[in-house]
Amino acid sequence: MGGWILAVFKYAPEALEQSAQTIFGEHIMISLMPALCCILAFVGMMFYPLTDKRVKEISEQLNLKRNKVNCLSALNKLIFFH
Amino acid sequence: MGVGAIGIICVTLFLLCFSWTKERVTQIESEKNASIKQDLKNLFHNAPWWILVATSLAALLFNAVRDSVAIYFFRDYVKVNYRMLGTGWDMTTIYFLVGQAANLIGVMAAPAISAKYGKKKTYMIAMLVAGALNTGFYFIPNNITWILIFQFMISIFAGYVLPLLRSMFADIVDQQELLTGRHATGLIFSSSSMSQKLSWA
Repeated sequence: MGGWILAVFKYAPEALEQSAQTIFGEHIMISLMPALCCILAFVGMMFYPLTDKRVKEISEQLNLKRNKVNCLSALNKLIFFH
Repeated sequence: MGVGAIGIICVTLFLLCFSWTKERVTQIESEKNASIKQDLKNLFHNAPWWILVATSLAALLFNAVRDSVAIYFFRDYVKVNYRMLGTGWDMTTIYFLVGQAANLIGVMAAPAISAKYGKKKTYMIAMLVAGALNTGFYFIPNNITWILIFQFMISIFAGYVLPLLRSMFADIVDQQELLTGRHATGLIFSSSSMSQKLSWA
């Protein structure tokens, strides 16, 4: 990925001095491009529906369900083995 | 040779890991509608999962682009010739070391802070601050002290989100189980791992 973006800014592997354009590219790759990623992640997260409240509800409901299943299988064992 | 040795150790550890652990989660539904195809179908209809995959792609792209360009950035833009006495570390090494140390601080702070203020909320704040700091990185003077200070602060926030993403994938596993009755931990975590590989490629 990094290599591709460098290539877009005409990075010259053989050259001793990179062009101003390439150096500008390197500069924004370490600053503004990651910043853009942060903004994307921020915006994406805005639409994420699993808030902590929701997560808590989900795990409570799951525990209820699991307990029910465990009780049933315990009951089954009792009936079958006694 | 070295790679081979690491490979052998890895395989041994994987096998030990398998034999030393025990499945404790009980499957709620029976195996009647258990198929990878059905699980994948469920996953592709899971909106939070899509959002999380996209978000973690962005978060990892952040690290991939930033880290891969650092060496070139130091050679062509910063142009500081410095070697630390004794260790022989140059500026790029020190830059990475500072980043890793700050990453660690962020990772260690994550469980306590996210438990108190919420994962989603603190994730968004961390991204906002990291975005602002990175924008600032463009405008700071070409001076190693500034660069290292910003690297330190950025890496704290970048490190903070890494365990959060993992733990949010676990939340998706639970949500998916409640919806479909299938506990697809393996599938969902491999999808998270794949999004990592994609962004590093």
